Amino acid sequence: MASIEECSLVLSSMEGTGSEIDLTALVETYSALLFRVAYSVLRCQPEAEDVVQDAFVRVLERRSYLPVVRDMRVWLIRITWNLSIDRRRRIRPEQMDEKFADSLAARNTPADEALAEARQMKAVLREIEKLPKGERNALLLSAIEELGTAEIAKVLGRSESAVRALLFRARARLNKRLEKGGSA
Amino acid sequence: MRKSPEEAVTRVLAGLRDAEPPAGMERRILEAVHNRASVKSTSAWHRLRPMWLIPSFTRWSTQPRIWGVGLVCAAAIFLAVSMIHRTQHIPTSAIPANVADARATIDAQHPHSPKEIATTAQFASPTPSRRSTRRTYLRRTALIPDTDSQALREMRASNHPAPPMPLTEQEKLLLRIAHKRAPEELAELNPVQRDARDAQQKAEVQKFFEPAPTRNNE
Repeated sequence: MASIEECSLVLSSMEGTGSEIDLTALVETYSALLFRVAYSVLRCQPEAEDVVQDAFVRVLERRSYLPVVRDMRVWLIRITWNLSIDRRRRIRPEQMDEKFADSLAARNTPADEALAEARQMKAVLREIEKLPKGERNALLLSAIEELGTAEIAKVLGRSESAVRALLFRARARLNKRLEKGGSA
Repeated sequence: MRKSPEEAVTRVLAGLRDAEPPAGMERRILEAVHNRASVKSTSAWHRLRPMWLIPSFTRWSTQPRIWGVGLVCAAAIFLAVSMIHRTQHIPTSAIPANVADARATIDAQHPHSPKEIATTAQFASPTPSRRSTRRTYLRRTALIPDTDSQALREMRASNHPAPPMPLTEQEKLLLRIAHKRAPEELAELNPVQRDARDAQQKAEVQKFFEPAPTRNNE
């Protein structure tokens, strides 16, 4: 005869079965995309994974809203994006950018060239962080291949034409600043 | 070889685009989510449920949850009524003599006063096991685990404030002026001192060009 505690746990798991199956499917479908969204802001793998985990925990806490959500993908991306922005305020971004920049330097080049390239990548990242918020957000989201302009617009709450203008201005500003001496 | 700015930006964005999630991330996330789900399933109202109710709850497991809630409410009302009923019908032999006298006095003065106020405050309950069970029950309900409340608190916590912004170019220039210029140059910004200095210089120039007093006049 099953114990009382076992009965209650089975009951509770039966009650939650529908939502848990949905969450599993969501994790399998979207975790990689959400990781890239978080990574574009944080540039650190463990932090990005934490953020993705937090995002799915939030989805679990708000699972009653799941039937109401029209665009699941955009909803998840927006949750992850906001969590990433919050997390970036708490961590030291310079450390993360340094490691990321080092990873971008070509591996088959001499050490001094690799160092110069890493320094240039760091300068680019520094200038990206100095961009106005709207331009920076649009630029970082545009790095994610799976996101089109329409989806970026939905995530940022802007129109598509505004996103295109932000992207153009961001690139132009970056080029100008890097040419001026930001790449030193 | 140094890249052009456009190439460097493209390289950085490509690095972000090509980021791969670490191995086993999906499994870890699913584990964390399932752990959280199992914590939530033993939520507060499940813990508030007395243990002797659980068999009847599982028996009606196919019924909607509202039956369980109704059953819990009915049990609580039954308990409360039985406790009130019991305190009103305590045999006189169980009451100490002085309390019995006091009770009679109170009854005489206030015939409609609730009797349980005088009795329960004066002597130990005739059913100490029931009171201690009630105390344990209350203590158990007060010990709602912190995980849910903590999770809610963390979710509602305000964000940490952003770190202070770096200095703008204008602020850096001002600092440079304030720290690097000589004190005399900074003092020249003061108009009173500047005027005094100008007057002194004029006086010196005039003195230089004044004809010197000749010896013949002496």
